[in-house]
Amino acid sequence: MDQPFYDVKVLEDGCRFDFLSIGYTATHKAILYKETEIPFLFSLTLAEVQWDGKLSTTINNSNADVKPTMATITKTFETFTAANPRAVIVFMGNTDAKTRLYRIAISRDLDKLLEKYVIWGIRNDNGNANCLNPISPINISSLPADF
Amino acid sequence: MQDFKPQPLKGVYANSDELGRDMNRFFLESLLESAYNRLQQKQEQ
Repeated sequence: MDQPFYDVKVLEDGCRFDFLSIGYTATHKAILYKETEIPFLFSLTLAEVQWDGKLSTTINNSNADVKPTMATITKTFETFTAANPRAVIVFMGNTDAKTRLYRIAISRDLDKLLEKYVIWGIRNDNGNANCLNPISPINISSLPADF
Repeated sequence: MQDFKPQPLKGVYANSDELGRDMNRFFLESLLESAYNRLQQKQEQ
């Protein structure tokens, strides 16, 4: 959480945060919070903004800037939850690699995150997501790789 | 019982509304998968 992070441009009434990811290349990315059909439940998405303005969740350019990108997402948590204090935010990777990356990022700063947020996770055993559990420093170490 | 799996994300979207709708669908289907698998486990026990 103390990592350097990117400056963001706040768009769409505070539900979209655009930034320039700078690693091997400079890539325009967007962090999006979208309310679901369940009130106060928001999905969180990290997408790449293509040259034509379209948003992609499939491009993986391995830009070698995971830490500042994750720190930037964490910063947007603070901004978004300050404006939406009752929000419940859900996110997951759309590939095993991304899911593992998010798990590592949460694990790294879990103590600090738990001071501010209640965190739940879905366990994934043998490819089957099978239960929703509260996450604590004690039980996160027992989670399988696909948390 | 057959396995319940969420349909994958579309991947490329014209705007954030379209992306948000597809992502929300994916999340809710993933939660359903979680509940479904838990139910199936209980039935097998």
